[in-house]
Amino acid sequence: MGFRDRKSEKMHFRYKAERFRNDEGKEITVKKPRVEVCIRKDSGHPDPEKNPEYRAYFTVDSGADLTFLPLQIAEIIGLELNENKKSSVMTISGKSFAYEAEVYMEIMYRAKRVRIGFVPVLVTEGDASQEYIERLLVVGRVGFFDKFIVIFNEAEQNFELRKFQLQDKVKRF
Amino acid sequence: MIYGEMQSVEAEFLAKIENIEPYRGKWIAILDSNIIAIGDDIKEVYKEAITKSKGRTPLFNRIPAKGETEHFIL
Repeated sequence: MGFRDRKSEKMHFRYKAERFRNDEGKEITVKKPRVEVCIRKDSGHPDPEKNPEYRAYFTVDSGADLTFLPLQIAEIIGLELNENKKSSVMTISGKSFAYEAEVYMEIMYRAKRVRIGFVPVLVTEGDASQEYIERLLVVGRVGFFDKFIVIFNEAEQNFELRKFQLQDKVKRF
Repeated sequence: MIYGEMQSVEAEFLAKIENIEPYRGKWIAILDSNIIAIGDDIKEVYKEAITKSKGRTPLFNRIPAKGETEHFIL
C-alpha cells in the first residue's frame, strides 16, 4: 500500500506502552512515540536469503537528523558497510563514528504496509549491547519527516503522520 | 477520531501479553498471535524465527529486564 490509498494519507498512532520493572519490583509503564517499521536492503520482496527484512518498533525522533541502526540490525539485513563511508556523530554521550548507508523502509498501519522508500541511515561502528539495541532504533528527520507532517500530541500521548501535500508546501511561502 | 489503530496483528498481541515477567531481558519474535522464538541475542533469535516463519517477517521486540531504566536520551 502506498500513498495513493487515501486511508494512508493521514495515520494516527497511539504512543507505545512499554512496561518496565524497577529494582524495587514496581512496574512502571512509559509511553513513547514509536512506530512499527520494516527495513530491508532492497525494495524487492523480502527474502530470508537474498533480501532479509527486520521488523520492530522505532522511536519517531524529531531531534534526530537521521535514522539510526545498531550494527547487529544492519548485519541481519545484510547491509554492505563501507569503511570509506563514515560520518562523525555527536550524541549526548559525545562524538563517535557511524557508517553511512541506506535502507528500504515501510511502516505498518492497519495491518498493512505503507511504503516510505529509501531512507539514509547511520549505523553504529560496533555492536550495541542487547539492552540498547531497541533504544537505538530511531527514525530521524531526513527521508521520513520530509514525507509527512508529523504532529505529536504529548498530552494525549498520540501522534499523527499526514501525507505531505503540495499545497502544504505552497502555504509556507 | 479513534487513536490506537492496530498497526499489526503481532503488535496487538504484544500489547496484550498479560504476564510479561517470563520474558524480561529476552528478545521475542512474534508471528500472528504466537511467540515463535525467544532468547538473549537478537541475531540468534532472528535466525531461529526466520526458519519458522515461512517467508514472512515476525515482529521482534525485547522486553526490558528488571532494573533497566525507562528513560533514554541518545
